[in-house]
Amino acid sequence: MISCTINGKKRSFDIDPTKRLREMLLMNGNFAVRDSDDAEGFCGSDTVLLNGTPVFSNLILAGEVEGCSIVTPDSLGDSMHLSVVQQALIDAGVVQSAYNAPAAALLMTWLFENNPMPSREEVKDTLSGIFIRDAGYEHYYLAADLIKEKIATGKYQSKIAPEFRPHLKAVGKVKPKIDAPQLVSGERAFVEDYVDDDTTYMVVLRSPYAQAYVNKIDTSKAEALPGVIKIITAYNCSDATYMSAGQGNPEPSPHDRKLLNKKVRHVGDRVAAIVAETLEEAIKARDLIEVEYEPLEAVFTVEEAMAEGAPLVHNGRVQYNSGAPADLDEYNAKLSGDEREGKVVYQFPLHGDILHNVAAANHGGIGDVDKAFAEADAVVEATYQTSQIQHTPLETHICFSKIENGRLIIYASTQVPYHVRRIVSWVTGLSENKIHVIKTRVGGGYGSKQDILVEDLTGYASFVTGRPVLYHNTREEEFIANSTRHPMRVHVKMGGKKDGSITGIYMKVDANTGPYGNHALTVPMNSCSKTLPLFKCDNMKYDLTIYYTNTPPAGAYQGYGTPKGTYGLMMAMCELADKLGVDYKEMVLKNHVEEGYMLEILKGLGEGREGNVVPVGSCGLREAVEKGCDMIEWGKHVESDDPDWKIGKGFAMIMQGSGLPGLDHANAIAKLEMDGSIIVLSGAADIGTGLDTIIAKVASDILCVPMERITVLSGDTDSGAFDTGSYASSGTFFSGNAAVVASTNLKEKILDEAAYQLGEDKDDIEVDWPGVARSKKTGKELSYYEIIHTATSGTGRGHLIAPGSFTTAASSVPYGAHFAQVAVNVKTGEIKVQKFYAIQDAGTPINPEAALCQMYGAALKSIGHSLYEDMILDKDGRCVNATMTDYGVPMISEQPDDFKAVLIDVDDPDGPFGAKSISEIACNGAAPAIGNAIHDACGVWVRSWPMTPEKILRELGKIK
Amino acid sequence: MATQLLMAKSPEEAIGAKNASAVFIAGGTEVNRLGSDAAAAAETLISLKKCTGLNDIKVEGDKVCIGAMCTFQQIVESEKAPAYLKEAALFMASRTKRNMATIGGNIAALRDDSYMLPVLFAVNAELEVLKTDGTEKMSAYSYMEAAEAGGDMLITAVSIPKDIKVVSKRYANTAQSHAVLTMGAAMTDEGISLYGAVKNAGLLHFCDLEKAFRENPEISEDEIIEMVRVCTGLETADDMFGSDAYKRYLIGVTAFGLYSKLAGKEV
Repeated sequence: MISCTINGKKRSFDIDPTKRLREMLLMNGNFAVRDSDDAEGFCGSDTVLLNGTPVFSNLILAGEVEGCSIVTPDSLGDSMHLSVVQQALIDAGVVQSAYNAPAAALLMTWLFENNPMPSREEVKDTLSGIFIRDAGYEHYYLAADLIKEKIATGKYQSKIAPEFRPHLKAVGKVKPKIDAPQLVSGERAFVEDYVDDDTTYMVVLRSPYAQAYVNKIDTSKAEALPGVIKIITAYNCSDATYMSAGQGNPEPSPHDRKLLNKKVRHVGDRVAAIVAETLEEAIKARDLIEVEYEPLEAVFTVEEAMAEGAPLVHNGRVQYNSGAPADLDEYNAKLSGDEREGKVVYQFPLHGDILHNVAAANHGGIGDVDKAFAEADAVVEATYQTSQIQHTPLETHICFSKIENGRLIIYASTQVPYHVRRIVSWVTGLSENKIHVIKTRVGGGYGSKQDILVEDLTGYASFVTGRPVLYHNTREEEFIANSTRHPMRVHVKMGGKKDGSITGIYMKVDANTGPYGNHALTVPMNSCSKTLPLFKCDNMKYDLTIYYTNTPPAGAYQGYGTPKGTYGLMMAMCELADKLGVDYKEMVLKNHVEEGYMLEILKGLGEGREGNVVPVGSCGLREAVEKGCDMIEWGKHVESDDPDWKIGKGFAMIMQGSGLPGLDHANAIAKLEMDGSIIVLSGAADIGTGLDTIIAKVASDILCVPMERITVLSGDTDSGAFDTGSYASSGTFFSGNAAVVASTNLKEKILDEAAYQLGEDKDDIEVDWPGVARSKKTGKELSYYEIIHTATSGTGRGHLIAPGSFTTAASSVPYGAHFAQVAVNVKTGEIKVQKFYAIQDAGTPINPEAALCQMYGAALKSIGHSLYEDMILDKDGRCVNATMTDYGVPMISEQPDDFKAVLIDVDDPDGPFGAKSISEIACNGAAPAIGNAIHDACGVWVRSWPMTPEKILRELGKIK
Repeated sequence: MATQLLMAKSPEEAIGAKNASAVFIAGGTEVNRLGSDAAAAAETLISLKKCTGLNDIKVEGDKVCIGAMCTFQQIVESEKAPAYLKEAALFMASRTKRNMATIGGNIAALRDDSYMLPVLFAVNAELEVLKTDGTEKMSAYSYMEAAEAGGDMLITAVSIPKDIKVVSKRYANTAQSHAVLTMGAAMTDEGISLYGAVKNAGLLHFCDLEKAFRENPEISEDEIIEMVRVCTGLETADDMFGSDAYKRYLIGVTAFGLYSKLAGKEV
């Protein structure tokens, strides 16, 4: 029996003393003490105070806390009674996906209890043991200032964020994210918080081979174990061929996977799923399964994949659901046709060629690049290589499913609840009305939760067993069995004149999609479609080829292919400027697009179909470049005191999209409740970015109702209406606009009903704060309560409910420019990012403080991608650095000392209240900005990620 | 997989309970950590957290004596701990981890990315070690050799010189990553004392470099770099932390840099 004090109360536990403290705390109901790293002592989600000192509870044994005092994050204050620290974190905008926000709140509380006036260094030290991937750390410093001010004077004095659109009360204003109190206080929020006590547990047996046939699986010993409920293999499960990519259906991705395959295609690929009464039993059973593999030769790089006679990753047969080529039978005859290979199904042609490991391809352009290069005064040509990067959400992939009344209920941490439902329907054969997907709060997505990576198997397991099933990825599985950023080889040729004008651009992009083709076309296509339209250039050409390999799978990642294309293009442009002797800034200003410029290049970049040629819309690009250059003092050389350290500056212009016009679709339903408050049912999937708050804000300003009287329910496939999901920067633009339409429709109904009840013309009625309809003619007024009360009295005209559906051909493109000042040690190769400025046009920033935090978070993340992060595979395709420590993500120590995010005020005509997307674009600038700054500092071009000290030293000729 | 936890109340109780299937836990940041081989193999875990007398930092003449269970953060905050040891403690970037990790634990782990051992070796730290047959004092380097030879030992205290010129340097991908190289150097009466923790190569004493600096105080950086580049006794290899060539270069350039600082030269 272990006795201790938890949050001031004496507790005793009958627990094995060798168990971890966290496990004991979970027994006590302290579920906000979470685990993000399988007890690695890295992420800090498991932080508690032990005898008044912050420690990792996963690294302490239960028996070691006998007689100790423990404080957990959930003790600080509940969502109705927030502490000063919790409130300040919310107000600063850092409570985003928030999986470990309670732990961060605990650390900040501890800091202030021991030091009421902490310095910036002391805040940094306190947060040095917690990994924040979503919002970065900059606004934690702001939160510290807010706490100090609140304690000292009772109110905040620091400006939290700029505000926009003075005529509106909610949109563009600093207001707490509506789910933040729940998240920061550690209330039930995530999938793991909704698991039933009688759940079973599923684990997955994974392939040790990069490529092999699974000829036989003997599960008899495993099945004989007590507690084992079901073992699912390729030999006893659904044969549906589908695709994990959660995007518009039909997808521009080949369907090439099954729940479990008879051929494994990467180390970590699924071989069997084991369902048992306890996790321990499931793991034990997994160890007893005997598999007869037939290992095959594998390919790991695009160079290997494209080589003549290379082993084929898919060698079954090809099928087209539309647009099949006339010679398909002939083509299929060249493939092995082995039943174990399965098939590759194209919804429509994507220029795939599995005989050469090509999953998809695209080629196109405008003008004549050869002529353009011939006319140029200088031409540069270089290849830029990006690495395989993991999203590392703090909440690893998880799913809980169960059967209720003949329906399959799925609790999912997903960006795409409706696509989860569709794909689970495909693998189970259940119709969609029999599947209920409940998106909980999402503890970090960044694109990885746009893929249906665990819900298919978990849902299927419940479907075949009839039991509740919990599945939760280990951190290692996040690396080896999830999706990752596509490694890409971006070859750029660019020609220019001495006056700085660019005559032609050619991009050849070879992308590595891994063993499956999820997002195979769309992600790499973004390397061209979200970069080339930055340039006012008549001659541009691209060749895009996506190869299958046997690496861990690639997939969607914040920014899609844009960060990689931007890296290649902007580095090449800087190289060209250098070669021409032209100032890079002047070259950027001379060649970037402006409002009204017709983007002919988009014609061929339509994600599997013809693209829309549209003019550039609202565009804050030039202002961003000018502003950033002023801030970083472009052109002014900085000298270090230490001769070994050389300082340089660089920047890159960037763009993204705001969803996919003509493909994305969002819906919302607005209801006037019986007391005049509002509930909005949205199909949207808020993944911590504040999308629910955006919906509440637009409803508030349209309906003239305070935000606290608006509730948003989203991500529930039963209660909402279809939404393609949160990806491709679509949330604000599509789901926000759907909420605008629904709220506007509800307003019309309120006006109509008020006019009816007042006996006046609808045209004479207006709505006003705080939820009243007033006659402009007579001055008579009805509150929303009075209107709905009468309408639902039994003799009225009924409940006021308004749907809103949004599709569009319009595109609101966010623009920006990111700037870096780096110091490079020419003796050791060490690199320090001293300054980083992210300047962005996000249209109207609806949640300004959250927008800034997302810019900080994405920029820091992409600094990590540029300098540190890289999944390293050995010769057999095993990831050798599949832990957080070995992989290398940036934390507060890596954050630039001078880090600024600036919003350029642009009012977009198509976005909701003028808004564009904000977060994804912020991943695009760091690599070229840093790369160009490194060149400015020490004269070398580092043309591959991560830009390591060793690469610097090699380029400097210090090592061979 | 451990099935028993012993909360030792004294070092003597702890060493008395130690056997081949038992493992000591100090701060827990290594033994309890994901992937720990020690914990996986152990049947009994012997926690030292309740042991008395292992948490003090005392000045004893020209030495500072640090209890083995002193945490990194205690060392950082101590007025008695010398600056060079604080610097080594701060190589552990995570404050939360520093609140847990102990100097004794870090020594006993003998990791090839050790935060403290290069500096402790360089200053010839003396360890007080409890064995089943009594207490013994030995240098940190001797401890390493004895530990590699086998035998149960429990570090109870670390004694280091108070006033000595020491410099150190750590290289890692990020501040939280395992280090590819940590080097510590001290200026002693015999000249420079130079040690390193080189990832996947081990804890190393750079005797040849010490000799080179001693014999030719004006030796150039290039000469040192070349010495390390061609050194046959150095078993570095290409791995995820960097190439063999990178590690050798880094050792050379860092050794020269540390020597230059100790010698008061312009670097």
